[in-house]
Formats: sequence, C-alpha cells, structure tokens
Amino acid sequence: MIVRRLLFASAVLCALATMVAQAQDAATPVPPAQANQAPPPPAPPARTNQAPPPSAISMRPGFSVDLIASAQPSEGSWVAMSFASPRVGYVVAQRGALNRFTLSEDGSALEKMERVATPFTGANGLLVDGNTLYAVAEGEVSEGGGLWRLVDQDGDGAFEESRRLLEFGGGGEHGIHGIRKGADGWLYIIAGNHVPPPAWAAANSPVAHWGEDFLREREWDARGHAVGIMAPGGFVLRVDPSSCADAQPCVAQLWCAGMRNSYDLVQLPSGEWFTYDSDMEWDIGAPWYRHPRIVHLVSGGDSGWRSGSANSPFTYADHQAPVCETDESSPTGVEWGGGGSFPAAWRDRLLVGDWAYGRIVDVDLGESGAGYKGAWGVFASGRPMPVTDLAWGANGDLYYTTGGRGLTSGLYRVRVSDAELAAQPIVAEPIHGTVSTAANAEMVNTLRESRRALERFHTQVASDEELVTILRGLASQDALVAAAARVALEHQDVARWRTVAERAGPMAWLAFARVGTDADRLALLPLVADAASETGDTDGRALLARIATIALVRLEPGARASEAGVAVTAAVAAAMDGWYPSGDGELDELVLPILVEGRRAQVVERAMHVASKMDPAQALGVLLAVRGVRDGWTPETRAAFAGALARARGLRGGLSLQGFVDAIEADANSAFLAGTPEAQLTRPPAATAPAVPATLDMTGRSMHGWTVEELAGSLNFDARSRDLARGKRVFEQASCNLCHRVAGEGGSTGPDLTGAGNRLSRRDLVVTTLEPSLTVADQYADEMFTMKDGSIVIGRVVNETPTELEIRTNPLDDSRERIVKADLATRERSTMSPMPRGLLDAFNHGEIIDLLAYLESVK
Amino acid sequence: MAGQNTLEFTDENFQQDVLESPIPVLVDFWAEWCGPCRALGPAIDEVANDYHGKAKVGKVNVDNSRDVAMKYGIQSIPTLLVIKGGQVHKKMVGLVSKSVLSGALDSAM
Repeated sequence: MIVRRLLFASAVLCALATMVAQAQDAATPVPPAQANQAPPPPAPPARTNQAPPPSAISMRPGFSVDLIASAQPSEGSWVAMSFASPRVGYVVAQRGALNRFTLSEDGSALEKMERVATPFTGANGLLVDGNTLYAVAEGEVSEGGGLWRLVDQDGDGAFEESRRLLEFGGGGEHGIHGIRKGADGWLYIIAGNHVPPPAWAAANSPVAHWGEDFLREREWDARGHAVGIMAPGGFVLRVDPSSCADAQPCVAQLWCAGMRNSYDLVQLPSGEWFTYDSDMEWDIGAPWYRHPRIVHLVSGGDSGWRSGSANSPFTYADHQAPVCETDESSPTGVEWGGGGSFPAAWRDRLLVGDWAYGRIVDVDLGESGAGYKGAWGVFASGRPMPVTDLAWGANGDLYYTTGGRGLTSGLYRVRVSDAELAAQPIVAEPIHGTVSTAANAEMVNTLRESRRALERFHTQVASDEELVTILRGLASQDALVAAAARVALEHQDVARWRTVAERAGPMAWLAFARVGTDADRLALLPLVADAASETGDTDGRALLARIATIALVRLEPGARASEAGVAVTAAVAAAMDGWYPSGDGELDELVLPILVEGRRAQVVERAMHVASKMDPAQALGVLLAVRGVRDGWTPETRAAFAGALARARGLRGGLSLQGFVDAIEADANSAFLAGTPEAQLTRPPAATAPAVPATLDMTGRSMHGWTVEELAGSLNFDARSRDLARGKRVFEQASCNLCHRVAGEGGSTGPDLTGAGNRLSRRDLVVTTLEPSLTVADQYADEMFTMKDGSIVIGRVVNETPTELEIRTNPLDDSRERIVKADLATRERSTMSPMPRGLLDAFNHGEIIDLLAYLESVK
Repeated sequence: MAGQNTLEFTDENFQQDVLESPIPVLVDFWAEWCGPCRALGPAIDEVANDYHGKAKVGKVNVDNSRDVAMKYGIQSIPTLLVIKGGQVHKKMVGLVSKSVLSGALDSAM
C-alpha cells in the first residue's frame, strides 16, 4: 500500500510532464570535403561543450593527465578510437558520427575535429591500418552492422572506397566491439554474448564443439537479461583481410569464445592476446556470480560464461582460468602498457578501462607456464571518468576517451611526469606464478611453443605422427598445453583415435565426451565410474565429474533415458557418491547434480544438511540442484529447504538475486513443496515496520517543469555544503528508489545508481533525470513485439520456449503476456524509457541540487 | 491529473462513450499504482490533443471499473485498445510510444 501511495503521489507530480521519446543524435552521412572548392568552408562552431576537468582525476604517482578535447553535441558520445599517426586519429560515437581529430604538434591540444562520412551509424571498434580504416559498426545487419573497410586511396583524408566486408552483429551493447590487427596479419574482432556465432565462420574454426554442458536445470535471469542466449557466448572472430575479395566472403574463424561482454582486446609482442571481460552484476551474491576477469585469449579457448544460473565461478577442465579477477567494474578498452613512452616496467602490464566505476585499471602480468597469472591495481580514477577506449598517441602518451550512453565525452592524455615514480612496482605482493629466472623463462618458452604447435591442429588435419604428438600433449601438466592438445584432438576425425581413447587418459575422455557419438559416451561413462573409485585427489575427481557431466548432458534424451543410459548414470553416481560433500566448492557443485541424476539414496538429506551450514546466498546453489527432485522429501528436509530460502530472502546482492530466490521457490513448489505445511516457511518472519523517514512537506507546492538549461548554471556547487539527508529524501519522495538501487537498497527496475558520480557528470545526471528517454541502456530497454494481427506487446522477454515468448510488460509488478512465436510479425527495440519525465517538477531548486549531491556521495 | 482532452471512461459510460462512439476511441487501461502507466500518461495526453475532434482518447481505471476490464480480459496494464464501431480494432500492451499510438489511431481512421 505504501508503494502504491508513493506511486500515486508521483503520478500526480509527473502528470503535467510531456513524454516525447527522442532518438539520440544520429549521424547523417555527409559528403567528404572536396579539394579546390571555393569559397572556403565557414569556421567551425565554437567548442563550448566541456567534459569534466582532469582536476577530479587521481593518478598513480609519476603520471599526469590533461583534457585534450570535449565532444560537442553533434559529435555524440565517444566509445572507440584509433590513431592513424601520432597526431591524427579517429573517434566514433555510440550510435553516432565518426570524426577525425588532429592534435597539435606536442599532442597537448586539439587542432581540428572533422566529421567523416560513413555508410553506417555508430561503431564500437576502430582500427587504422595504413590507408585503411576498419570499423566494427554496431546495429543490426539491416542497419549496417558488421565489419566495414574504408580506404583513403589518395591520402587526401577522404575515404573513396567503403565496403562492408562482413555482415553480422546486433546485440546492442552486448554486440560486436573492438578490432585489432594481429602480428599474423589477420584481424581479430571481439563480440559480446548477444551476437550469435556467424554461420559463415569456417567449419574448421578452433571453436567448434561448444555446448551448455550443465546438469542442474537452469534458472534464467528473472529480469529477462540474456534469456535464451546460449553457448558459446562472446567470441573472437579471426578474419583474413587478404581474402576479402570483391563479392567474396572473407575467410573467418571462430577463434575463441566463452566471454560475456568484452569490449576490446590487445596483442602483446609475445604474440599473446588479452581482454577484460565483464561480470553479470545483477548476480552478485549468487553462487554462480563471476567477477570481471582478465582473460588470456587462446585458440579454441572457452572462458566458460553461460547465461543465468548456468554460470559458474569455477574453472572447469574444459574452460580457461582467468589471468586474474577484479572487483566490480564495466570493462571497456584494453591496451598494452608497453606500447608508448611509459617506463620499461610497463611492458609486462595491461591498462584496461572501467566505465561504471570511472577507472583505468593496471594489470601486472606474470608468466605462468604457457599462460599468465596477474594482479591488478588502480592506475587512474575520476569522478566522473567513464572510460570507453585507450590508445597510444603523440609522443608515446596514453590517450583515452570517456563517454557512452549519451554521456559528455572527453579525450584525455596521460603522460609520465616523473619517470622514477612511474617505474615503481604497481603491486605490493608478488604474483603467484611469476617467473624471472632464465631457466624458468626457457621453460615458459618451451611450453608456449608446445602450445602453439598444438594449436595448428585446431584448423588442420594432423598426420598419424602428429596425432601421436597431440595425444602426448594431453598428458601435459600445463593446463593450457593440455587444453590445446584436447582441442586439437577434437578437430581430428574421432574414428582415428577412438580405439586409443580409453588408454589416453581423462583429457582424451573429455574430448571423447564432447565430440564422440552417444555410443561413445555410453562406453565412456563406465570407464569414468571405474576411474572414480581409484581417484583420491580433488582435482582428479573434479575432472572426472566434469567428464561425466558433459557425457550425460550431451547424450540425446532417448539415449539418456534408455536402459543403458540409466544404468551408466547410476554407475557413475554410485562411484562418486562418497565424494559429496567434500567441502571443495567446484567438486561439490559438479557432483551433487550427478547424484541427483543418478537418484542416489538420501541425496536430499545430505544436500539439505550441507545447505543448512552454508552462507545463505551460497546455499542457493544447493537449492538449485535439488529443487526439481520430486521424491524423497521428508517434513524435515522440506523445512530445511524452505528455511534456506527464507534466509536468502532480503539478502543484499545484485538486482536479480531475489528473482532467483523466487524462481527456485516456484520450481520447488511445482516439484514437492506446494501444499505441504513447510511451504509456509519460505518467507522470513514479518519484520517490524521500518521507521518512517522524515519527509518533505509537499502541500501547496506549485509544479515547475525543470529544463536542463535552467539547472546547468547551478552545477558548480560545493558538495560539502549541501544537505545530503534532504537529497536522500528527494530521492525517496520522487520515487527514484522504487526503481533505482543505491548502496544495496531500492528497486531493481532501473540502473543501480551506486557510484553514479564516478561515471556521470552533474550535467549528465540532470540530463538523464529530466530526459530519461534520450538514452536508454540496452539492459533497461524494452522490446516491441508486433503481431501479425497488428496488436502490440511491449516489455522484456523473461522466458522463451521453442514456440512461445513470455513478456513482462510492467517492471514494477509481475504482469506477463505470452506470445506465440508463429504469430509474431516484427520484434524491435523500444525507444521509450520506462522512467517518467517530470519526477522533479514538485521540488525546488535547492532540493534538486541536494539530490545531485546525494547521488554523487553514494559510492 | 489528465490532460484537458483526455476523457475518463467507466463501467457506467463505456457503452455510450466508447462502444457507440461514431469516431475511433483509444482506451488506456491503467491504475494509479502502475509505474509504466504513469510514464505513458503524457503521451496519452498529447495524442488526445492531437486527435481532438477526430478520435476520442480516454482512460479506464481498472481498480474502479472492473467490469470493463474484465470484459476485455485485461491481464496486465498498461493495455490500450483502439475501438472502432464498437469492435476492438487494435490492442497494445506495455509502454508504447506516442508514434505507435498515433499509428494505431491512424489505422482506424
């Protein structure tokens, strides 16, 4: 009732507002400047728009930062850049224009910014290579999405030739992103997880045998994010530009995959590639949450991202361990620390952008066998400093852009101000796995060469002799070498190695489970069961449990339900029965679903005993595994299940955490809980009503439709002198907290505003509040479904079956509509923000400034 | 607070004001507690102004006019119907834009 009253109050407040959806500034291609044309062009408009000054940015000792240029409204919000020469580069805006900038001789100032005509609007990745500019254009294929090549044949600065080399993309902010040229001359393009792997990628690509590969039934994200998105997730596409002849599709390979939503990648002189992958921040607190991670990208690698509760923080044997994990962030640009004028110590470091928390993070890379281990720190941070891309420019200085989602953009320059300080170690503790001795360096080189030799067979057929080498590689103690051998083996005809698979050991079994036939899998599972009884170490057990999981999951339903299928499942479960609980998170996560699948006796009792002793949020993983079990429940185990759910309610965490709790409860109700006395125990005892906060007196107020211009002149306020408590009351009385979370409290319909001051300037805060439809982030945008009969449904997909879509039409309640896919005519992104305009119309100027100060203060 | 040209439809006046209307009618099923309905409000008011004299635009509060809501099987709000000659010409569910609303009315003209 309180919620309804607040909404009613806001309904009155905002009813005078006018809601007009506005599209973001869309670039209209303009013709390139013509030589010898008179009269001279008029002087460009004054550059009055100002990005936040560098005074609010803190740097590592020994470095300084300058603001070089601020994007003007017509230039959009910059998300990617690339230098063509030390002084000349390109910046492109999200869903906006491409511009060429020229810096002064010393790189300290902008000399000119020129609009470049493009046949596409907006790009997420730019690469200059000689007289060619490659652009990874965002948007659907029908909107120009894909890889474009623009060629300036005569060096006059205009592109005479433009061609879309590859048509792919879509996926909005989880679409196709950064592009780099590798030392091998191929182009490497990184894509987010909403882009399906292109069908035209070569069949013999290194990534070829992906699968979801989890046993416990998935809960999709309750808020509809990435529903229906399946493996392999985000990927790197490797493209041979020399193959892109006219009217011919380029040769392209799916090179590695399993990322969530990386924006950029970089290759080091060692030849190794890296990216910075994002977390699903709405999952924070859930046992399947994975931190943002630095990923060493290798041929055929799978970083293991899966949608919803199928994600896992653990590194399974067929997945690749991260170099390191960072705290919460929104990864963007990635650059090598040694590409400019920074001291030599930076040759072993990466610099990566964090949009949400306004940082550039530095990563110290330590060689560890054929791979890397790393540690990270904060290189620079600002309020706001929404970093989008990084690149080396004039004088070897580091340049970075800020912007995205309509925010005011800036081009900044970082220089070494004190070489001695700049050369200091960036982490206090040594990195695990770092090698420094010559002997170890030699071993690293040997392992790396072994790995690369094996990677050749990710696309090539091996001779019989080479097949032996591959099989030997499976036994390597180095995880990356063994993984490279496994992927190589998977690319060889199974008929050539089926007969030796049994003797080749668990890594060969893993390959067998992934690429063999159902008959192979049915033959493999008894081997796994036998080996299980003889395996005592945790890692070995986890490997066997993973092999069993994949073999079971990849069995066709008929084979799984067959007499032989049921028998081998039972045998594997029996062999692993004594492993649960082990206390090891990964092993328990893998084994419990196998025991459930094998219908082991008292599995429910054991699982509930484990759950009762776990952290309430982590116990959700156990509840997830047994929620669908129909038999074997007792009043005591039902009460334990319900009690664990009750403890998980109200936990602070990501926006989706409580949605997962609800979904698990719904499934449990369907399977075993509904109608039992214990079903009442899933809710915590009613808490005493919270104290009603002091409120602002709203009686007799007149309404005023605030504009950005009215408030823009008042944004240079001293936050220390503002009334933050009053700002918080405005936040609540304007109903902001119904949809936005701050410091773990509030609704989940809109973006979490914790740390908003790190990424949004005061002006941007005002703009997004007063004009919410100006820029709607993909994660919060609705979709419009138009049916063949002309009816329309707008909302977000929260469930999808082969024949139906379930749409949540009201983010503040559980209203849902079902759509039959066969009745669907079109599906497109809605431009309307669910956030009303006019929320601040009843508040006075001082109260609004206090609100801004409050939002800035919450970190 | 609705715009000056935005009508209020109820169980009592729905037959006469909507079903027997000689011009098309855009009906917005809403409730005070519905956030997206609030977001939609200004667009409804603008459409009401734009189509004044050519089409009727009005709202049905589903908490107060349950019979009408039930008759049209309103499961979630906002739901919008374009009714022409007493028959449902177009149905829209969720937070639609002004241009979609206008297009729906245009198709009934």
